[in-house]
Amino acid sequence: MSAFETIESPTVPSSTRTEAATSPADARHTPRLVGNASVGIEVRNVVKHFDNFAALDGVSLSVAPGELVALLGPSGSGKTTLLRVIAGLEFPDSGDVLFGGRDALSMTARERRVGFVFQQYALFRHMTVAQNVAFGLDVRPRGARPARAEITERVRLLLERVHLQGLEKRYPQQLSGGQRQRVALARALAIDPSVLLLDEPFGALDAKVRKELRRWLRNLHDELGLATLFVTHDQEEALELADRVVVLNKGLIEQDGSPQKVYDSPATAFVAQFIGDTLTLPVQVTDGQAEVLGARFPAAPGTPEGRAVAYIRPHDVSVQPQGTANGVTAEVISITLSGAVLTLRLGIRGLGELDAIVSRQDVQRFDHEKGSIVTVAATQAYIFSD
Amino acid sequence: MAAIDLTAPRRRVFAGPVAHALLIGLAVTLSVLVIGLPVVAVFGMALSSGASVYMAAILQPATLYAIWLTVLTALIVVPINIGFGIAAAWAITRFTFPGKKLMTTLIEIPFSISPIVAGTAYLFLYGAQGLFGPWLAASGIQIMFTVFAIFLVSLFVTSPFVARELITVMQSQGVEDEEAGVSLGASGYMLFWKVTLPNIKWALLYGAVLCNARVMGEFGAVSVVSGSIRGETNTLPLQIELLFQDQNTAGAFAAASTLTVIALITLFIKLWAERRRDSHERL
Repeated sequence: MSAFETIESPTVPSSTRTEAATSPADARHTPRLVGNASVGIEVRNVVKHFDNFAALDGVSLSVAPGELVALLGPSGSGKTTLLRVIAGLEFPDSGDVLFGGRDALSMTARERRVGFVFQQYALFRHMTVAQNVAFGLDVRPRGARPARAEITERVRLLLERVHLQGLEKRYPQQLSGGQRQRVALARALAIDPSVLLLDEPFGALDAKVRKELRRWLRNLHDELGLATLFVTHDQEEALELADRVVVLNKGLIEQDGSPQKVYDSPATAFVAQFIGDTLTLPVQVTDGQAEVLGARFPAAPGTPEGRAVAYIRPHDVSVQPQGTANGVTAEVISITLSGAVLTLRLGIRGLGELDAIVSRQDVQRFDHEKGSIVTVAATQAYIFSD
Repeated sequence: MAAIDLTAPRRRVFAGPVAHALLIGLAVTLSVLVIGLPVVAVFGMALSSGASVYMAAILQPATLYAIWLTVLTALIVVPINIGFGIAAAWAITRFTFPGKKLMTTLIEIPFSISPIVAGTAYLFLYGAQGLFGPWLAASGIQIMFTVFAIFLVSLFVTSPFVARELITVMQSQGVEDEEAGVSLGASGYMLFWKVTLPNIKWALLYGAVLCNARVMGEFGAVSVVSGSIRGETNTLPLQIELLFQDQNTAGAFAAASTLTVIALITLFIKLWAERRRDSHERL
């Protein structure tokens, strides 16, 4: 029952909501949930050490109002630390954080009005859903606190917005993971945040719910128009959801660009390896180029001549009948079928083994059984110094 | 492939029928002999001469005063140690500061020190021949052999109960709830009343109940510093001992039974708090 709600509720009404938002007549009836003029986030040269460990080693990035930016990196890369520095839960050793051009470091976490969604949601378990969402309004000083009826109405609107109407009186323990996440989001939005920060927003959810919520979050972000920064270690999530992806590793930014740019032209060996499954092959660079599986590809600028490493995605390995194309000869070692694509494990004399992911149509014309001999070539490769 | 016979009896250590019966029998017998019997004996002896004698023994002025002093001590010591416990647990679980490990250890000292030693230490500090003795005497302040000495040693002996409970719970709960509260704009005061306290209330009650039980039952430390002045510095445990020394068995058992009743009530509150605390922690 609850699983059913989780999957159904975010998607079905969201399509109607999108229509409402585009039609000006209806827009008047959609109450504004975020009244603040949205501001951008700017982070300049932020350094943060924990004991002797540099969690952030001079990080600069910006998020424009209305932009959805993913902070992508492996665990321990400093991405959550950066989010916490922006939220005011952690103070940097040096550097600047600006909200709409104003110095945020001189403000306390309370004053920053950051909508922060925690990885484990951090819902108050002794409060109902409605009390959780109302918290940020209830704790305001008497003068700034809205009237009871106003708070109740606002909570109702927020819960409607996250499709949790009817669950006001439930406790967090009685909700599914997806529902909890939406309560956390509604609670963060209740304070009329100037920016929205999400720490691994889908980390604690199962794969199916995750995909549903992604689309829903994207729609919600577009409606709110806030500067939104979310942390993830899931490259697929970052590429699918974000306007811009910032790849972080060991406290440093490896690349900052559109999902396409990050995927198609990784700036560093780390990005090439981190984005998508990657195969590595040793190569020789001469005249700024290297031969990879029978074709020449340019090396990354600044790569010295000589030994280097080529990074190839399994999708960028083409498999042809033997002798029909340029490439190298390989033997099919094993075949794994996964839906529309096949993963062929190929053995190449003198190079070792590598995986190729090919569509079934592409190889149906010729023999690719286990043990057959084929020609393989790389259609794309990224070459970085060793 | 090696087949696993699922129907074969699963052998655990001491899982034979004989060992089974023996262990349960031993546990039950010992519980009855060691724990159940003395408790029953207290009430049996107290009521052996009839209810009117029992009531008369309790209503004896010295015993009534001892009950009052014991309750008064608890009313003073438990709130102070609740305050101390919250402050110590907050400091230890929410901040890093030099000497934090030392403080964590220091808090536990009253648990590992014999109460007699605690009493003697206070005597050494505040007694007439003690460290601050001459100074206190010159200022006309007497601490030893007054109710203040009882409050002081009781504070010392029971200081770890609340702190230790809270440190465990606050450590396992982490700071996320409070961080969420801060980011939602809560002030420190609001944060404590609306987030922290509700999260720790059952552990707090549990610790307070344990603290209370210990305050009321404390004998060793109190006997060193109180001077056992009848009707002045005699708490219930001291009064029971005094009545025994007077060969007043009925009186002693009557007084003991009141302490036992308090202990049983404490036990039930403790069990209840424990259950609420554990169900609260599960999410």
